[in-house]
Amino acid sequence: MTEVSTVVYLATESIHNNDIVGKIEETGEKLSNAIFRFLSRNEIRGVHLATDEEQLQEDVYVLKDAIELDLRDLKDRDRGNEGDPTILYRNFMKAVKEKEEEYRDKELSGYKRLFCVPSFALGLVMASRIRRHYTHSSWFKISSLNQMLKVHGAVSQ
Amino acid sequence: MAMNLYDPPKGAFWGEFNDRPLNQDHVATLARDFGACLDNCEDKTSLDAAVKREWIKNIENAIETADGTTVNDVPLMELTEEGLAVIKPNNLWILSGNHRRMALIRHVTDLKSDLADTMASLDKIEVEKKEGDIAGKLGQEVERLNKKAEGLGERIESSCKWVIRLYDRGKHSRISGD
Repeated sequence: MTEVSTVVYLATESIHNNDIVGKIEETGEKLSNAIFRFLSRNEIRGVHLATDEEQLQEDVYVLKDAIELDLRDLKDRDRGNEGDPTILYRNFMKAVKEKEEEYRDKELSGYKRLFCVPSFALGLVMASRIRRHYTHSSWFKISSLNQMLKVHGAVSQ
Repeated sequence: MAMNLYDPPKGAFWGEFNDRPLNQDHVATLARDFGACLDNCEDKTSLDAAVKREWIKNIENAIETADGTTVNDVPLMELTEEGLAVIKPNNLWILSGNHRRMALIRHVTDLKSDLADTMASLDKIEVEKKEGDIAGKLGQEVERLNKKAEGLGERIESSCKWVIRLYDRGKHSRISGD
């Protein structure tokens, strides 16, 4: 189980066991965000009915949390290796790797493709920091993003 | 607890963690379904709200489960002065039920319109009736309309409310405006 899945799992368990009462924001930012997002999922009578956009948004949020951590660290760190995302954005790279693994064996090839190209995912997540409602743009769909990847996502080496 | 969903507290906010756009077709379907069955008092269909304990005046009256009760039996959430002030800038996070809220507004608006029509019919009879008319068919019609108006009034009152499950946000704060 990946770290992010563990967080969602813990959130689920905590909610079902009723042991988060009085503690949500005391569990730390990462877990409390996971709990609030879990509670905000599009579920009807226990059935998860996420739209394409919601599914994508859930993944982007996880990556966005990681990049926010990295950017916070960056303020206090030497920016020597400016061009190397594996050094600059350690948490993000770890999260994107987890996402790729999460989708590796699933039938959702569009998501897998997206997270196989960390630089593209990085661009997407960076864009998400600009404006809260960018996710409602017409291009914020897994099919459109994959089309972009197809056209612009070639590697140089 | 229960909350007035037709006229929620100022600062009740949907979409803090999931702001997907409303699907208007889904809202219309829900509003139509609410006419036949309004499932506003079940644990499974309760709305989730993230609050701080000190915002709720009658937190001691909160009940464990809404199942087996009617929405009028569930204590209506009352906010403290502190709570009312703090939630104003969209700080009362409601984590589910955005579509249901909009559908409920349509549903209650329809009921209110029906009630207004019924009252107008009663007023019309009152204005146009002549002495002695109140007996017979006209009297029966007045009685029917009065009963209908009473039923609609009760239905509107209970339809405005929805059961909510409270989650305590705890002491740490991410309140905007702090």
